[in-house]
Amino acid sequence: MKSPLVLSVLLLLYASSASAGTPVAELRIRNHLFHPARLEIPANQKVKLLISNEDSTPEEFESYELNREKVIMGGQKTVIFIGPLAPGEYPFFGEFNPKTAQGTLIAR
Amino acid sequence: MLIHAVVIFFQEVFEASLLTGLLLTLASQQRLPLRWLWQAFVFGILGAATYAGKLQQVSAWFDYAGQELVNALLQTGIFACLLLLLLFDPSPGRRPLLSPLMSSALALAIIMEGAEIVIYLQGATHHTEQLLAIGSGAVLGSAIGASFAALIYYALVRYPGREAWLATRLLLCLTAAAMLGQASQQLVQADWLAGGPRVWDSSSLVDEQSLAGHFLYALLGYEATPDVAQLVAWLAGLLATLLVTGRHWLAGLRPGSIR
Repeated sequence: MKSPLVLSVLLLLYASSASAGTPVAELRIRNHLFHPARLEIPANQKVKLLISNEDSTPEEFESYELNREKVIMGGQKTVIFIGPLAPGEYPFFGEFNPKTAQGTLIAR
Repeated sequence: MLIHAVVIFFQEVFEASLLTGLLLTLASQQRLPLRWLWQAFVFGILGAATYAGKLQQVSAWFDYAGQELVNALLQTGIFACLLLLLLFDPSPGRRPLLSPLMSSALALAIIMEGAEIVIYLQGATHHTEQLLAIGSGAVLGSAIGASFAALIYYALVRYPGREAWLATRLLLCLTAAAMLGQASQQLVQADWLAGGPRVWDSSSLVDEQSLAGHFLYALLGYEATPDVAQLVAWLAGLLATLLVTGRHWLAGLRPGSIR
């Protein structure tokens, strides 16, 4: 279950890092859930997180551990920079739908 | 849904509530009428609704850095108002500036917190069957959040004298420092500022998600894992406001005696 996830993230990172120095990771919000719920990112470097809100209602990406908080309107996408992060797991959630919108960033 | 609405409204109102309590105390100590408070609410709520309405556009500015930029400007604006307020506070000649500064600081805070509430409501009220729960949660959360303004006010105003006077100003210094710290985090999030490494991890001491953590966040911008940029911004903010406040006290002057 984890292999396709890791593979797609690596491909994404490779594709984007070819043009810019900063690796890019992607998250999608659909039906008040984060996809993927567990996202791997490279540790010890700055990462550009691209978040697309595919729901019609706004969501707020928030993480205490990452010190990040941003509103994403329905149907919109946005960018948040995170890192450099030490290896580990960093939970995040959607403040407007905290019961379902939950995820973890894994810095490796 | 009810509990969730309570939590959201409480958190947003609470943050503006501490500032309100401190400003109310200052106004009481300076014997200023409450006009500044109503003005702040009117402009703040109008501003919050406007910002929320424009947020979709604003968020896309500068390669999706618009939201962080506007938030950083709002927070820096609050810092500047509080800095000037503390600077002019003991001078009778500057007295006419106090109310506009308090009003502006609070209005900016209401715009920031209020916009988030408006956006939350836009989404949450799609579920029309939940309107009663959301409404009740809103009232309850706001009331609990706002009660802290009363708590601070009565705690400080009850004990008139030098200690309360100094405590009010010190707490305003901390609030100002928190604003600058938060502004730095907005810029780091947008990659307009390098954050640097984490300076410490105090989450085992005070968890950010605990009530104490939320209280310390609202009061002085507490972060369990601050980065260098935030620490520097916070210290710079605290130093600037303490110098401005302490200048008068160090000179041994009593409030109101400066020409």
